[in-house]
Amino acid sequence: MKSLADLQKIREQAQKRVNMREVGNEDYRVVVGMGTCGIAAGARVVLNAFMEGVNHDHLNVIVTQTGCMGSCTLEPMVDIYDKEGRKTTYIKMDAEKVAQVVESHLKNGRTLEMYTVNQR
Amino acid sequence: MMQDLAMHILDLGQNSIRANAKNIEICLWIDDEKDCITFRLVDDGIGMDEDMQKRVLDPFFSTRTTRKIGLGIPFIKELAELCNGSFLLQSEVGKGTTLEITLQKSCWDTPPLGDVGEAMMMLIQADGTIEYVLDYRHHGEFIMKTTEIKEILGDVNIQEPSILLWLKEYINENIK
Repeated sequence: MKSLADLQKIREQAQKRVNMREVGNEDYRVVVGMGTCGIAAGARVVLNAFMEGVNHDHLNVIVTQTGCMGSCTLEPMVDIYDKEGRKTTYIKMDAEKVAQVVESHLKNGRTLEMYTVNQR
Repeated sequence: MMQDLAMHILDLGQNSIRANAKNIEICLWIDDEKDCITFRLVDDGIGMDEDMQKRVLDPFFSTRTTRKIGLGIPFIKELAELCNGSFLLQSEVGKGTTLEITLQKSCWDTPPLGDVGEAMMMLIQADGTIEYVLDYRHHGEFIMKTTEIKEILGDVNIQEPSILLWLKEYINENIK
């Protein structure tokens, strides 16, 4: 069972990674809608999947949350901002789609148009 | 609808974050003998006046501007009523808000606990400057305080994905 004693080890690993990364100069910023509507629609799974994807591949990406994004029927929604502040909005996300977005958008810079709000 | 209690914790915790809380305490006490689950959330946010306390019970009220309905508190109140429990909302402007519900553990409609570790992880991820306490009691007692975690972490941010994912597992393993 994990205890606080283990946290020291995790801390050291995390610190090495932080030192390699340029803080404030992330490649992308991922914003997950976590209002009541988002949570009820499955945003937890989506946020979790992004965090695990970013952690697993050590991506230079920051994952954050926001409240209701205003289109509750399209939740779970995710905005991805690039360095220039350009926004891509993905809608009706799930863990499977997140895995694809991590691979295509966050790792290779290719927007997955079929999941974006533009395709509605 | 929220499928489990952890989703309510996450949802109601977001209210406290929006109310500029600096400290959020979440108690989850399960008493098999009394057949009772108690869930309490205490924050030191901006609080609500009496009028507001009445209005948040109305599903067609919200402080947000992106939509006109707010379902978080009506959802949990309905759940408490459905599960032979109780609902209590206390708040004072400038002091904070306390929300406490009880549920009959064996009631058909009482939802499962869900992923409590994940809900806590997501609240910390939403705002890492807030100090959280999770007080879980069922047979034994498990208390997680972010102040203690941050002391160990030193200059490493609690919001690092690897730290957050570890915290989730740490909480879930200890409350089993």
